Amino acid sequence: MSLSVLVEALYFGAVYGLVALGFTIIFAPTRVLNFAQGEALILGAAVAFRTLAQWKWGLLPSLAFLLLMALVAGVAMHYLIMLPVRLSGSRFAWIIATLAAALIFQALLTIWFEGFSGFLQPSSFVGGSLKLGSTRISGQQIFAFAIGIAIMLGYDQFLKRTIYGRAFRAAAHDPDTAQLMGIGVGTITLVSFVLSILVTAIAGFAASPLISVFPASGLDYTFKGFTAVVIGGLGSAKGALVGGLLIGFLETIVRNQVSARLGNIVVAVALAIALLVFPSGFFGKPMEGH
Amino acid sequence: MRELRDRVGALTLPIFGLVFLLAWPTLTNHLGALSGKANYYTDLGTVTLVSVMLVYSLNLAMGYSGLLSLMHTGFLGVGGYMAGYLATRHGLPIWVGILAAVVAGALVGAIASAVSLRATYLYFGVITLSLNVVLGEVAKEWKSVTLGEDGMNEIPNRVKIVDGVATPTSFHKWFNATPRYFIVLGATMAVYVIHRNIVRSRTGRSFQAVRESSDAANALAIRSSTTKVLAFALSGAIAALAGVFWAYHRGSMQPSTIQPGDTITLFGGLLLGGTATLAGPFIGVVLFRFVVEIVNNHLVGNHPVYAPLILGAILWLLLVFAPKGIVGSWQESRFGSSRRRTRQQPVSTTVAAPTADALVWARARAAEQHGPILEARGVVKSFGGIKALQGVDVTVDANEVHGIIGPNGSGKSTFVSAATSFLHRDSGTITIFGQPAPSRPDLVAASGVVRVFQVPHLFERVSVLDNVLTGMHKRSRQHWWSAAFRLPGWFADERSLRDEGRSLLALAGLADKADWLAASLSHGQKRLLEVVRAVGAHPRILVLDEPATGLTSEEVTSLADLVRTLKAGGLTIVLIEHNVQFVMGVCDRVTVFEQGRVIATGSPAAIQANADVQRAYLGASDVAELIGS
Repeated sequence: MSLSVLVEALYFGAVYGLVALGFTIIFAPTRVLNFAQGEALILGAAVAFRTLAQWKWGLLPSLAFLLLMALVAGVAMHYLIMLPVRLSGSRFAWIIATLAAALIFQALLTIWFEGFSGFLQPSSFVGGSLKLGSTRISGQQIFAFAIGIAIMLGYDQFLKRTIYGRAFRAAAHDPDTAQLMGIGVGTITLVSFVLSILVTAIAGFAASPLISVFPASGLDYTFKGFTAVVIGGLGSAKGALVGGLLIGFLETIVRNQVSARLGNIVVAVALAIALLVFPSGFFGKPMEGH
Repeated sequence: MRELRDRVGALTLPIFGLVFLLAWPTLTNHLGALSGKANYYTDLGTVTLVSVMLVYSLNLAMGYSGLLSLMHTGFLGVGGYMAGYLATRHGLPIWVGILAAVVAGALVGAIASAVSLRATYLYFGVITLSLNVVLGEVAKEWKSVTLGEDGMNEIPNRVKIVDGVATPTSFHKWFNATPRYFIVLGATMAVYVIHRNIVRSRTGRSFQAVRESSDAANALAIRSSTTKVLAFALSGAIAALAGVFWAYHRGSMQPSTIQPGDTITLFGGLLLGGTATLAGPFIGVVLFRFVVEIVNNHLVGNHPVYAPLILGAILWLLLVFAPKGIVGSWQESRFGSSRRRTRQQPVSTTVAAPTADALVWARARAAEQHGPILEARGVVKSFGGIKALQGVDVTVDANEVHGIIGPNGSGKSTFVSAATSFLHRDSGTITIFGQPAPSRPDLVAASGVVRVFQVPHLFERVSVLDNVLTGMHKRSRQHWWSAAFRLPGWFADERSLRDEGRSLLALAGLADKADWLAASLSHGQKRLLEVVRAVGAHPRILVLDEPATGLTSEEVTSLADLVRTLKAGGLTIVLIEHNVQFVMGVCDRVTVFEQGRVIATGSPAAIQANADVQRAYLGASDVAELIGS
């Protein structure tokens, strides 16, 4: 296995890890697995492509635009998903609510790029490169990987070190009791949606020159991130990172060394086997009541 | 009169629906001819009916059995490819394809559920999702059978064997659009009837029991693992059957059939109609298809890119305004059946005098058993460092009410769970009728020791009577196929169970609430119902774990009455309780636990006089007061 394959595995792993982290952030207070999570990644790539490649903005204004879009998308997604889930007594309501949200977001993204048929792929916006032996690692690749690691570590520390993090964990553990302790679980849920969408959108933005996505590719990444979060175990940033890297490695190695067509099936088989052996993921606790 | 009116009312919609379905090709052929799309609407009907079949299968798995499945498009593929392969390569007729597909679908379903039994609800869904991806990739890569991405074409083809070589003859359409529609309609009706028959039977009740609580199911001798496998295998078989008609109707199979993009249509149809309802899938799928059709053909016009947006929005609105699905929300509305039942005036307010008939079996049995029938010797159970049970000996004699009392944390409930194999015993033996106790809780229940939990484990979403009927699971020998096809003998069996269920309910004064949803009972009534449900299993030993917790004093009185009735009927009862008065009033013998040990056993009078018990449990100074009252 060459070094370039390793590098590819690392930044794809970081991207999947951030989608997985997005899943985890929303899952914690709501027990909802958001099938529209992949759309946030596409949103990040779409903003990067539109602002950097088509509108020729600088990096800072386009990042500000990304923040704004993620905020709007996060709030919208919160109401789109949580309103039906709260109204319905069915324990399957979240599936259809998040699928409907995915449908709507995918349609909006497609409409935003109507008439354009290509990858949402701006050229690299982080320069420089690193030469290791005969392999050249671009700054963009290092950036995509580093930002993934930084966000995941940062979120982990936020949960562990700050009073707000404690409130988040309390809300995740037992929303009713947290409410009784004076924690605004409703606000935490809303903030979780925004944070989750932001985290995944940043991944899409940072990796947009490296990954090739269409406006309608959201569900593919939902599936990968979902696999990562399930293998890592729901509920921890560490699990999301490990799960994401595992999927990244598995997929990249199979794609490069074995066959480009077998990537999906290997990921699916790995998921099935991992779940049969560890029914609650590597780092997760057994799921209850959901 | 009222009943008759209700019956006629209940039949209106199905009859109207059936007439509509039968008239559909006639109604729309003109329309199709006018718009230059002959048979378009008939074929649309056929495709919709195939989806209806598939969603009934999904309803069986998800709605009634609580098995979240994301592999139903995979089952569709299994059935379609199986029938297609047999037709195009071997020239076999459709009914052979149907048989093979149903068997294959059942096998795939059984294997998928058997390997993922340890997974909880959500993770079961994830495993099925990954299996669906695997099935999709197999369809792409196993080219010698599936022909890969090119797809299998001309499926209804006949193959002529010329000199031992299979040679395709010319392509025949699989009849014409209209007869094809009616064939698929017939199959859909058959699926509906089978689905309904299974749901309303012993088998369906066991599915719902496992969905609600696998512990409660185990306590009634329903083995949750085999029940899940059976449910998913049946669901897989029906979905594969839908796949056969899918393949024959389209005349081709592509790997894209399996890709889960269409899953949203299925879930949409199911949730729109209402999960775990009989009519829901039908109404939901038809409506969903109708909406999709309108949106695609009339609303978006030249901008197809807006179609998913509108669909998503409509889906969302329906989810918000009919959160339980159309049928579910209707039932809960003021027109619906759940409200109507609860609103009905009680038939009688007085509790029917306990009828001797309901407990004839127990009396007959009581006459033949003597001496110790349940013996625990040296039972030890620790949780980490905490020794909950430190070598407990308890002997329960035939035909007695045996009380177990003790302070909180003295190990009473742990003993019950250890004795009934819900917990693994560290050491010690349990002997039931001279035989060592089985190691699986459902087998313990089957051997005659039936427990009622401390925390209510009622099946809340089914009727009161259905709860009792679920308790009788092991007593009926009816198989699922006998229920599915309503074979001779099924009706008599079901009727005798229902009659007995109603007379058991009368014992607890719940006869007039038999058709209510269990969730609509009061807490006290729920406890009584749980006891009745356990009695329905015809236990040799009935174990009640703190049944009086949280009851009002009147409810405790009716519980005590029920226990006395059961005792008079000849049941052996083990009663774990805090309420000393209650225990002393109904028990023949009492065992006292403290800190995981037995400190005394004897008659209520002896226990009350026992100095150890007074000191350890009652607290010396309170004794006189408690006993005196």
